[in-house]
Amino acid sequence: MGIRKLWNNLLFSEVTMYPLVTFRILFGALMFISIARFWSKGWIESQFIEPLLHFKYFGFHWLPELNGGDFYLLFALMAISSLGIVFGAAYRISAAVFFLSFTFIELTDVTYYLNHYYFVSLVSLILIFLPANRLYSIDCKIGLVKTALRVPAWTINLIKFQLTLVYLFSGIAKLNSDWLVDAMPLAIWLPAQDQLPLIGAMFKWRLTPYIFSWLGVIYDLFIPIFLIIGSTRWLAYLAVVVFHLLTWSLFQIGMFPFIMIVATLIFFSPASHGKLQKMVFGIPDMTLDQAVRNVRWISLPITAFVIFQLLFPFRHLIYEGNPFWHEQGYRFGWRVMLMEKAGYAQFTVRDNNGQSIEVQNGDFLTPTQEKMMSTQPDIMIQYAQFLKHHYNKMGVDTKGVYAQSHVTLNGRGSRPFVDSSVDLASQTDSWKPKTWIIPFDL
Amino acid sequence: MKFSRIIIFCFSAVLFAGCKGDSEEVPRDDFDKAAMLTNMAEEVVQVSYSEWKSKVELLKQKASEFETTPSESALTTMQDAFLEAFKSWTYCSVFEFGPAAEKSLRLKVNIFPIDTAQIEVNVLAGDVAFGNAQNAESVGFAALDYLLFENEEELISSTPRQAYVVANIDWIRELSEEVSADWNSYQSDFISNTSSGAGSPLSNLVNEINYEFELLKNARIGIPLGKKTLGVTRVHKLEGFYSEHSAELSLSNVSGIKNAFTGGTGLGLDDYLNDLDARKNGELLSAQIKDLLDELESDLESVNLKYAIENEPSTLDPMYNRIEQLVVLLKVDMTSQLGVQITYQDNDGD
Repeated sequence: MGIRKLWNNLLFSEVTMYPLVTFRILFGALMFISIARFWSKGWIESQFIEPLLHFKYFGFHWLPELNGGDFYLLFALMAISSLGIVFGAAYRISAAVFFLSFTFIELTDVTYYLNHYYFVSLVSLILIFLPANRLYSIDCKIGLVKTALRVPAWTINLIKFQLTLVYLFSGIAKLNSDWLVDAMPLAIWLPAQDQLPLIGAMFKWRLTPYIFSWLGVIYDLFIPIFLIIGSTRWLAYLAVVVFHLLTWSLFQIGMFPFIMIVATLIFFSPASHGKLQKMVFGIPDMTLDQAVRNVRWISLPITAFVIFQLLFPFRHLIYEGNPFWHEQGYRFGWRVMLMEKAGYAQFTVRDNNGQSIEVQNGDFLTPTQEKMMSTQPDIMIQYAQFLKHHYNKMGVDTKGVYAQSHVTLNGRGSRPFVDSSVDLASQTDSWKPKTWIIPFDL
Repeated sequence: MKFSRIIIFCFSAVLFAGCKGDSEEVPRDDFDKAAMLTNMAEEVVQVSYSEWKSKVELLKQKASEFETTPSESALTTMQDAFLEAFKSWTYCSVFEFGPAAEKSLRLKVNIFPIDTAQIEVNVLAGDVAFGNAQNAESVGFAALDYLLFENEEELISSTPRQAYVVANIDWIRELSEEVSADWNSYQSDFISNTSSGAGSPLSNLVNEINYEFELLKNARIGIPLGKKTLGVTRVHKLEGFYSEHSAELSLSNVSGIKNAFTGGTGLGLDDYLNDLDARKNGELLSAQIKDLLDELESDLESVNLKYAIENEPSTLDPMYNRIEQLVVLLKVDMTSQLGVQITYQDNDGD
């Protein structure tokens, strides 16, 4: 069987769409819960409205700044559209609205970048194009779309592919000496949890971080395969549940574990999904059964998407040095829970008369913003430019903005991070290497 | 077949990694976080607060004596008692978690620089609403610093002035009694929660040590030194500007921070760091922090901040440099090595 034939099979063979229905309902519901959680914790206020400034994503500086109330409106829109996804009501519009509002909020401030936000963005983008409302949905009920049982395989395989990438890339990223030889950062994080009931006691042992590190990397690299292979699927899914519940109890990682526990259900066979759904929703009317038409040209955008997703996380390779240190090409690469990094940056605004002002970061940034800014060079540029603008407005004859910064990575002693003689306000963020980052030497 | 091979590979890999880890390092002894927190609560926080409380009590006595028979000598006695109480506060200032955080104690007891115009308004008004936002900068130790030292003759002759002094002392006394009492009931919560998550006692302790140290760097030293004003010094922004005991107050502040770090003679963050074998450039992190704090203390013992800032600010550079080094060690190295969470924000570890 040629590669082309295999590819065509993966995209266009006909399968029943039960897994899509499960995915639609559970993913949507989880999004609704996430939004409610975010809202109830007061984070709309503290993360989006209260900060004096927002750090933008590269390439997205043009996005408009929202006012206080608009954020609530957007979150409300997000919540409603997530329910639209769950019930398959005005499904495609709901998916599109959810994707746009979620991604807009995500792009508001790079401080809050999380891999799982990126994952949610990608999945909701994919959802727009999936016929996930063709069964057990309000759209079907009111006759907006015709019920269908059979769909082309790509609709399910694309989500499986995306999930596989999350695990695979975070596994590949763990293949480094800090993780494998020094058990870092778990050697810092686990002992800090030694008060936990039952498992806490073993975090006092020196060996434990090694066991967790190695099991973690093996899990990440191989779990997709074991989820795909039918004979190991149940065992693998059990591992998924245990692994993510463990990380949830150990680390402050929000909804990510639950998203993965729910999303990986898609690996189960259409038949098993169908069995469950027939029990819950009743047997669908087979006389209505149609197959969702195969559109051959969809192969092109899917291929492009797949190639992009395979290559983009590797872009850090074009930069010299340790990506954990310089973080160029670091985001959007499924590097999750890989390093313990902290920093402190003392910014100094110099004027043209040889005098200077020391900046108190707390005057301008929230603790979270300061924490992220102190270790991420592209945010430092934005901050320096903000400071220059701010002090110019106050009448300071600004020459430049400089930073004395120290960063610690995975328990190594803190060391200078950026060249303190470089005016950061005059730097522009780009794909080019940032030569003012002091190289990381072991 | 394939599956079992992978399993075997996994276990041998884990075994390999584990052996390597063991042969290189000594196993951790059983560090008792609860014992550290108990020591912090009983021997550090409570002892410091009760010391503060009794110093304020004594100040209250001396103020009452002064109020009944105002004289120069009674004033001097009161001033001495005030400085003792003030220093005792800067020593306690770092404990801004639990009951102190609930009360925003720092903001109520010691905001500086103060608004002298508002103080004069309050003296004339007589009945002052303490705790009112409008009075935030005209009450507490810094206000007393002004009232007791700025115009001594007027204080001896003016009854409304004396009344405002006593009212301020009563305000501080009330707070010192409340916070001590609240700690008695809070203590068991503090000791029983040994997690490192955001909002845990350990996280609070670490965060407040950092916050207080940055206050020292900026408010107590940096701002008066002109670090935020293009080198133009702002000596009147010194803590204890009127009594001219700024260095002593900062010294006591540093000693308080050191006490919060070492846990006095008992278990503290230094011991915890040692247990984790936290090092920088091969040397124990705790030792580096303690050494710098010791040096900073001796810097402050031998300096008159007001004089130095007015006449030879550059002589303070070595001290300021030590402070900068300490900020990095505390905020970056210590916090990271302890694995303490600073914010509630979800993270995925980058």
